[in-house]
Amino acid sequence: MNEGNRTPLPEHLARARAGDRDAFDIVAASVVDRLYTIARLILRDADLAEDAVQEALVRCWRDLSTLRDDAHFDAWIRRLLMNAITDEFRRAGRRRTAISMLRREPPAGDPADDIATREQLARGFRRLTLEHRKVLVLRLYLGLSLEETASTLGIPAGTAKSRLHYAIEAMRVALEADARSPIEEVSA
Amino acid sequence: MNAGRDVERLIADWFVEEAVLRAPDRVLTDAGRAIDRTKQRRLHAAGRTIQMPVSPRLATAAVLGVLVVGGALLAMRPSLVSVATSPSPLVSPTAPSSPTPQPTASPPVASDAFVIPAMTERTTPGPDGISIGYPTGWVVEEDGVRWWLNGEPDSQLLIGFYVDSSKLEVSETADEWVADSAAEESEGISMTCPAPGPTEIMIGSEGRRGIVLSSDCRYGGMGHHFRAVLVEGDRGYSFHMDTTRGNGRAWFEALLANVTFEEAASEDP
Repeated sequence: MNEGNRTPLPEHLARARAGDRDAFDIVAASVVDRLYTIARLILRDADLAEDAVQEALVRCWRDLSTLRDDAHFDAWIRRLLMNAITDEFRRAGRRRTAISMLRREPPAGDPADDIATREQLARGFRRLTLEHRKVLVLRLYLGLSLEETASTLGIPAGTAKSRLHYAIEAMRVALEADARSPIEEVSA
Repeated sequence: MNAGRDVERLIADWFVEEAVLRAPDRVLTDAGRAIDRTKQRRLHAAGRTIQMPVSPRLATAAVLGVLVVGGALLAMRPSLVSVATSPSPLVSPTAPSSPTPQPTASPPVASDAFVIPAMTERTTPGPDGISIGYPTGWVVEEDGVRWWLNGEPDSQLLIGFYVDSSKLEVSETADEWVADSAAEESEGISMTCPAPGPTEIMIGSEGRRGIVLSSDCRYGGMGHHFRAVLVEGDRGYSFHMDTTRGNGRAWFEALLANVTFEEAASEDP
């Protein structure tokens, strides 16, 4: 588990649920770092990640009264974040003109080289759909179980499993392809 | 398998290296300003107001029966047949009769002898009113249907077809929703697409025509991706198919042709 911050105390949640802004500030401060870490990994964009976390916190404040069981707060706010990430991603897409071009990448270095490998991983990750990225981060970074991953994303465990399978396979092939071919199609 | 584990380890280590563990202070301060303008939702309203923040992907089926029939459904391409270890011959199934009449489009047959069996089964309609016809032996999941080699999710995935939908935003037009979906399609993944086929595609048997956003686009190692979208009333539908093989357009068309629309549940978001 690589999350920062701590789960907010029930008393703070209870007060925040009752509309206590100071209590909510404590709640927000207790989760903001880990939300940002997750959003940044998935979106790979600092501005979008900030916006997604802000939106998740606003929704958390707005909908906190609907959280029935404080024990589920962590999972609940992760779900809020996933939705906010989706929204930010879509908004960002709306702002951009999607074009495809063929870019000639510099020759890939020795696969054993750490820097080259990191670049290959980054390229492969950017090619994944947002949903595939989410599954990878939840599963391989946060260490959530498949069931927890599925619950966070609001999908069946089988779907989470297949997405994880796709995503890992796509990353593997991206690594191999980058090592083989200098030509890559990219979206901008 | 070990290679897969190595990649997982590589990705996990990379995530740890890349992780930014502290959010900029402005995230909290900006969120605070927005929260100051946001009223908390209260639960005194009548009816259920559970705000489970589900993704726009809405389930198309509540049925979760696992229908495993070995792998003897499809007459696959030789390369795939050689992967399968099904003991039974690869033939189209004799279709069990469906309990309810269904609109069945004649299943197309791909030019490369990739035989598509009859869509003899059907999911129950999801809250968005969509149900999906599919061949016997496929696995029904919450948001779609899948066929796994030999029925084993751990094995190579062959075909997955799933649907998501969402209501258009109040000020959003159908064209904007489609453009947004297209942008999302291009943004999320880098794909190598062959020459596009017809941009319109039949969805269901009642003359609805969707727009193809991706057709047989290759991504990663496993992926040949298809996606079509359709706006019906105030709801936008996305139909996705991922398959491990190329030339799957006929499959996509067959699955789309066997989608049916019913009225969405009123409480559906």
